[in-house]
Amino acid sequence: MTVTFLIGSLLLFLAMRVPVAMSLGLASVLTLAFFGDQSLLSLAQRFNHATEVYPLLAVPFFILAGTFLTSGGVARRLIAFATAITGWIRGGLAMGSVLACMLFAAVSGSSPATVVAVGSITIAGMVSAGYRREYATGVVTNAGTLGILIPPSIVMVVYGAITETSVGALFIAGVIPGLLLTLAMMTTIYFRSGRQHLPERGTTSWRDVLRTGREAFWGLLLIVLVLGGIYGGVFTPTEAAAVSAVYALIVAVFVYRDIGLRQIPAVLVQGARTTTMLMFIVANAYVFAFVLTTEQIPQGISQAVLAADLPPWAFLILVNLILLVAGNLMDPTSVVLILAPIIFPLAVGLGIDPVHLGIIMVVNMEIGMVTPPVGLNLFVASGVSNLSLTQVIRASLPWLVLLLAFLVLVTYVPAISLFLPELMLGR
Amino acid sequence: MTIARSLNRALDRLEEFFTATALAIMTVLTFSQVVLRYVFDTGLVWLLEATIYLFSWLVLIGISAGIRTDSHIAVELLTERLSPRAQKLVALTAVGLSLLYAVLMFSGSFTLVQRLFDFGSLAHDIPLPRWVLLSSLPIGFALLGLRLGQAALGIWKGTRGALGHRAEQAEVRPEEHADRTAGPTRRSDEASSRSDEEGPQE
Repeated sequence: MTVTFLIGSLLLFLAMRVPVAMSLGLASVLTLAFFGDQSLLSLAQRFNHATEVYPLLAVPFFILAGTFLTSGGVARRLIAFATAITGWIRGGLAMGSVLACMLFAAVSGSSPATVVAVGSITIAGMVSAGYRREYATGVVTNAGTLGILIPPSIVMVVYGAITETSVGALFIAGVIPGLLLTLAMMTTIYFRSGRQHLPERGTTSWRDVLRTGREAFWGLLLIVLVLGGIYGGVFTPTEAAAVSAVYALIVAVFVYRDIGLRQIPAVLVQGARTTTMLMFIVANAYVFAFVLTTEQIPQGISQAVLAADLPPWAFLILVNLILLVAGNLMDPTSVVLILAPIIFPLAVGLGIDPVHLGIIMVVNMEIGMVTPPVGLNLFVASGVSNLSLTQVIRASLPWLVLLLAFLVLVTYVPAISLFLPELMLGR
Repeated sequence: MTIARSLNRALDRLEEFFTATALAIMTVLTFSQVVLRYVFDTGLVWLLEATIYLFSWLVLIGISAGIRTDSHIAVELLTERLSPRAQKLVALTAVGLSLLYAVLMFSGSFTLVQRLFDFGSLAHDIPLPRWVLLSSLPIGFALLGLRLGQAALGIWKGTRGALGHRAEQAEVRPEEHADRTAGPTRRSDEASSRSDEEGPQE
């Protein structure tokens, strides 16, 4: 009864276009008012708890860093470097775009941001080199999903916070899957380059690689700084985020001089706005999770699942299906925040590693970002490429096969996610 | 009416100034913790506590600003197939529900602050009472209520659409927007007063 009311009212509010954050909050408050004995005071406390969870402090800093990196010229220089590396291969520009998405993903924690940063430069570049616009857009739309898989990743921070899993371990766990997906995409481009009639490209020399690499040095150094700093134990993911925000500002304003001092307030306003939007959902998700626990809802579901006697592999199919559907309807952060508190206890009960589950969720969210109706990457790519939404959907559809195959691989070969964290953290 | 309007505009500016400043200070405080640890081999405990309270203020003051700039994500798939009349009705109901949320959360957080006031408990390392630091909650929800009231009025009069950011509007690209506002041709004060469409970033 309680579950039906909680989930039912949540879905009703969402359907009525009450913003996700307030749908979550109101459904929780009303459920407690009707069925529970918790006071409004404890809900307010729970709400504020979201701003007291240390790992979540990384969110505003990563957002700020991302805003500086995109508006400053770091993205542009990383792209020049990436395309110089692959320029001599047939289909090299497309492969370079994938590589650029990977590099940018390693400094930014957001997928739509990656699509915009890379796509706004490479799509036009590919088109003028003779690629079909649809093909170019499809490549970037899908490679952009690397943004949340390759650390840093805002979705991982949020998952880690709500399930109390180490954000550092999640970040490390994302490295191998991220590299694997990059490689898979580049290989696909290479082997299909004939069929797709991709243009040949003039040679790029080692000198070009060196020159562009030197120009992109400050961007590449940030990757080393952030990831090396976290893994080397120099600083926490939260501190790493703050360091990269300050670093990105210094590089954009003083080294590359792409942003003037007077434009900094505008970047801050933008960063604060995105932060609030995300954190408002997170805070209400904490209230929601609180209601779930006090009403013992996960336990109830978990008993039903255990009674069904599902083996872990079948449970994972179920989890993937639920996540894929939810990912199609909502943005990644909301999905993770709503579903992680329910799925997590079940998965852990079945012996699935929390870090592995996190990576599975992230890959599902990647797919959600490139599938309609609510695929953030699709909307953003349509803006960057001047293609209609329908054209972008059609262009990115073939890649879905690859992403789904990748999801199966990541789901059933835990070692892909867990090898590196076990090696480095001795978990 | 004009006084109300200029007060309103002052509030807009204040919200923006406040949240941007909070974000800047948080970043500097966290950054200096790293510097203090490695360069000066020392640390200040109050830095973390200050950052956490600033975060609370940033989020709570930002929420109401987010109603004005329509940056809260909503699922619009089902409502957009309705007739305009029905859409308006649903939109008003949605604002009503949001308002109910704001009122309930306000009352909860007001009781919380009142309780803290009665106990007179202090923060750990900052020499301020907890009720002052946590009054971000009732203030934030009160502002949210105010903005929702304005939104309801706007929808009733037909001067604004339903609540929530529509993902399709992301055609104006989220990041590129920051790009444009930060572009060399745009004066930053003028840019920061721009407050319409942004896309979400995940």
